[in-house]
Amino acid sequence: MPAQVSAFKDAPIPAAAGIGLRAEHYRDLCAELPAVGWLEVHSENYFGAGGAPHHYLARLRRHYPLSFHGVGMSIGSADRPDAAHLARLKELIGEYSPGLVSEHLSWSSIDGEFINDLLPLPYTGESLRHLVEQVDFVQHTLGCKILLENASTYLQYEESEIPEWEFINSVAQKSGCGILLDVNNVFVNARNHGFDPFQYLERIDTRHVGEMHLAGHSVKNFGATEVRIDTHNREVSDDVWRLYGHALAHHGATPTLIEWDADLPPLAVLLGEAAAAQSMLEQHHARAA
Amino acid sequence: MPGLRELQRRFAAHLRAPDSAPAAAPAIVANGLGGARRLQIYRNNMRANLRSTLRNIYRTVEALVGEEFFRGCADAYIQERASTSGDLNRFGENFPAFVKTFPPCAHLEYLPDVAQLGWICHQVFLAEDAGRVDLGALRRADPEDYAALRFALNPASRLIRSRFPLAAIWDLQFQKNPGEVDLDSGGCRLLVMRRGDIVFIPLAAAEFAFLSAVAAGRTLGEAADAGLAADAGFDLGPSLTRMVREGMLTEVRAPAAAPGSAAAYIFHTGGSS
Repeated sequence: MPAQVSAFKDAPIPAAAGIGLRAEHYRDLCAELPAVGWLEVHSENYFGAGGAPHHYLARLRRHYPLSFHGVGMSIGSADRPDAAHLARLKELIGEYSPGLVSEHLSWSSIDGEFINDLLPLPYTGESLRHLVEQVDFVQHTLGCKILLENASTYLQYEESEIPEWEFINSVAQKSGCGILLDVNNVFVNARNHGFDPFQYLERIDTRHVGEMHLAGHSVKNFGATEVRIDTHNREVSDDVWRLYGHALAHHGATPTLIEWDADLPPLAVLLGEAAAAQSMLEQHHARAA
Repeated sequence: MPGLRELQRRFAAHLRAPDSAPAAAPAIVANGLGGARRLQIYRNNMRANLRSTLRNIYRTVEALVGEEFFRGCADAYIQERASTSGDLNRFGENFPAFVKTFPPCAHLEYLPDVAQLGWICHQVFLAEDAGRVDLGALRRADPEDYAALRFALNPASRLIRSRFPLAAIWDLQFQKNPGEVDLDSGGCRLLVMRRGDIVFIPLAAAEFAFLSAVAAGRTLGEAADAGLAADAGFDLGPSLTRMVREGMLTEVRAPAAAPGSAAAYIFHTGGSS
C-alpha cells in the first residue's frame, strides 16, 4: 500500500529516541515532521484495509524508521496464535518494512476468547518450553525475528518457580527472539512485587536487548497497599528516568520509545519526553566513546 | 499445580464471572493484597478497555442516552459477549442487536438503528480505499452489453435504511443547543461513505433499491429493474451518472467472463493507493 517506503526501507531502528504514533497526532506529525528518531505503532491499529490510518502511516513512513508493536497476538496463551492475525501482520510487515517487530511476554486469550489485556504468565518450566515453541512458530510464520517485552503485572502466581528476568532471558536464549526491555514495567513490577529493579536490569542479558520502552504509570491504593498501574497516561516518572540511566549504562545506547496511550498530550509534550531520552542516549554515547 | 491451559481458563473464568466461576481462581501470592483483589484489578482493566472500545464506536449512542446509562449497556454487553479477536476493532459488532433486546433500552426504539449506524461508520472508516470507474472505457463499451455490466459499490460505503430520521438524530450531538427531533418525521435511506470524512448521502427509494442490488452482485439490468420496482419513475441515466461521479460506484465488470476472474475486468479501475 505505501507507494514508496523510502530510504528507511529495511533500515534498522537507530539507537535514538522514538515516539508512539497515535491517530490524534497524525496531522501534527505530518505537518511538522519533527526531528524524532523513529515511530512505533500498535500493529493492530492497521489491521483495517484502508482509510486514514494507512494514509497517514504511509506518508509518515517516508520520513521515519518504523517499528511494529503488537498488543493482541496472545503469544503466551496455551492456544496457538490466531492464523488470521499472523497472516495480516505478515502482510503489513511486507507493506511497511518495519525495522523492528515486537510483542509482549504475556497472554490475552484462551480457547478463542479474548480478554484484550496483557495478562501475566506463570514462570514455570512448562511455560518456558511453551513460549519457546510459540516464538519459534511466530518467527517462522512471519519470517522475521521478534522482540518480546516484559509486561507490567499486578499479581504473581504461587506456582512461578523462575524469576522473571531469568524467564525472559531463557525465552530469548532458546528461541532466538530479542528482548524489548520496558524500563517502566520493571519499575512497576519491582514496586508491586518487592524486588530490586536495578538488579533486574543488570541481570537481563544485554546481547538480546533490542529496544527499550519508557512510559508513565499511576499509583492506586487498595487499603494500605499501593499498586502501580501501567497506565501510559502521563510523563515518565523521575524514578523511571533514574532506572533508565542505569539501563543505558548497563546495556548501552538502545532504541528507546516514549509510550503514551491514554489522555494524550499535545505532540510537543511527547516530543519533550523524547528529547529528554535522546539527551540521555547521547550522554551515553559520549561516555562510551 | 494446574497446567498453563488450566490456569488460563481459571483466570479468564474469574475475570468474566468472579462469583460463579466453575473452578478455583489461580493461586496468587498475597503480598499485601489478596489474590481476589489482584484479579479484580485485571477485571477492572478488562472492562475499562472494552468499555472504551464500545464508547469510541458508539459515541452517538452515548451522547443520546448519557454516560451512565451507556455504561450500564456496555457492561451488560461485555458480560454477555466475549471478545473473539486480538484486534479490538472487531469488538462490538453485535451491540446494535444487543441494544434491541436489552430491556432497559426497550423504550428507545430508535436506538438500535442509531447503534447500527455507529457500527457502519466504524466499518467504513477502516474499509479499503476505493478505485474509480474509468468513464472513458465505459463510453467505449458496446451498448448491447450495458444491461449485463456489473458495477461494484464503493468498498468504503454501506447502505442503511431506517424508519427513523437517523441523520437528524445523529446531528443532535454536534449541536450547541440540542433541540428535538420528531421521530415520526419520516424514515431514511442512506449511503454512508468515506470521502475524506464520512458522509451520509440520502437516497431516494429507487436509488436505494438499485444500490442494494448492485451491492448484492446483480447486473446493471437487474439493478435497474429493482430501482423501477421501487419507483416506476426511476430514471437510470442521471442516477448512474451521479453515482459514478460521486464515487458511489467504483468498479465495472464486463458480462462475459465469470465474476472475479482477471479476464472479467475490461475497464481499468485504478486504485487510489
